[in-house]
Amino acid sequence: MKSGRVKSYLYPVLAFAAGLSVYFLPFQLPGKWAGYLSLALLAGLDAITGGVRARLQGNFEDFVFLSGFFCNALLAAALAYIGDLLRIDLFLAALIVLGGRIFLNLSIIRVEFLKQRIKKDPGRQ
Amino acid sequence: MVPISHGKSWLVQLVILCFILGVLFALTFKTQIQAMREGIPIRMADAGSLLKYAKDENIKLQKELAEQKQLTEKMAKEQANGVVSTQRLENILKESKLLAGTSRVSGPGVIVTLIDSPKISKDSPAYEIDQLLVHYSDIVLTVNELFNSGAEAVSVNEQRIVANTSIRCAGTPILVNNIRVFPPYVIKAIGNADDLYTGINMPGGTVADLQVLGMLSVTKEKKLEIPAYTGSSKFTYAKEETN
Repeated sequence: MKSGRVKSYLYPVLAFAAGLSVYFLPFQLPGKWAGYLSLALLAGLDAITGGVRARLQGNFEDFVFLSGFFCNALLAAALAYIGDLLRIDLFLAALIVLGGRIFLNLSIIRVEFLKQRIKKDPGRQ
Repeated sequence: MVPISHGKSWLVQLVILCFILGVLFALTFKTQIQAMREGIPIRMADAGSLLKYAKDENIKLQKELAEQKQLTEKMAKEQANGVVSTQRLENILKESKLLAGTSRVSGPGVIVTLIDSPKISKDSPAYEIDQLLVHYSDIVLTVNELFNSGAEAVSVNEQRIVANTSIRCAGTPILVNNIRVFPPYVIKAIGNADDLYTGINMPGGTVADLQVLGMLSVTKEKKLEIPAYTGSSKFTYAKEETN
């Protein structure tokens, strides 16, 4: 039981590492994309922390999680692109919202995690 | 309280998205480095765009250099064969005349007028009067500033400034090309009128104090004419070195 839990925690980390290995593939994206990719990355981080948080809070839904990841990533990048076209720093809006949400999600995850551990331990014994 | 259950679909989704997140991370790092290499300005940092500008300029100059080298080679070959086209010779002559100031030229530019300060009065103490008069050095500085701002031809009271021009003071009058000039000193300069205008009006520039004293005025002109140098061009000591 315990080893199974550890493994299940390990899978996402391994997947993340596997994704990182793309770095070593011999191809190159246009440098123009850098700004948009970093925003998409932020949106993805937000979605994942949001998903974990929803799971811990018990209101996790498949559609919300998956659509949130892709839609937010695309939206953030699109917003930044439109901002660049209009010469407005629209990416700042995405940056602030996503950054704030990531922090919020992380703090809720921390709180929920601690709560569940505290409740679980006396229950077990 | 909902305990952490081991729902498969949740974990699968998390794993997939973590993988995509990893890919995104990698791509972002990669493209950031690429962007830096391409000189695309990184948000909130203009250093990249400056670098790109410098690089572009460098490439442009290198191309120019290559072209010039090719031209030189071509000309050297032609010279060796004794067939220099008259058209090219004419062009070279034209350029040389422009540089030497031996041809009348016209074009856009500015007119700078230097006068003794209107603030001058009979009661002014001697040292103050000295400050308020136009000296030859003021003309030198103005001419220098104009050339520095990209002037291609400059004249002072219709005296063309050429390579061996001297501007000096001989008692009351000022000599330009050894010819007396009198106030108001009208300095004409052909070049990019905006650049020249800005150069003269530069705050803290070399002639800024003249403006403060009301001794200098500058106007942009659409078309100016600057006469050719009319002095002697006899060279006794300087001999051309050919190589």
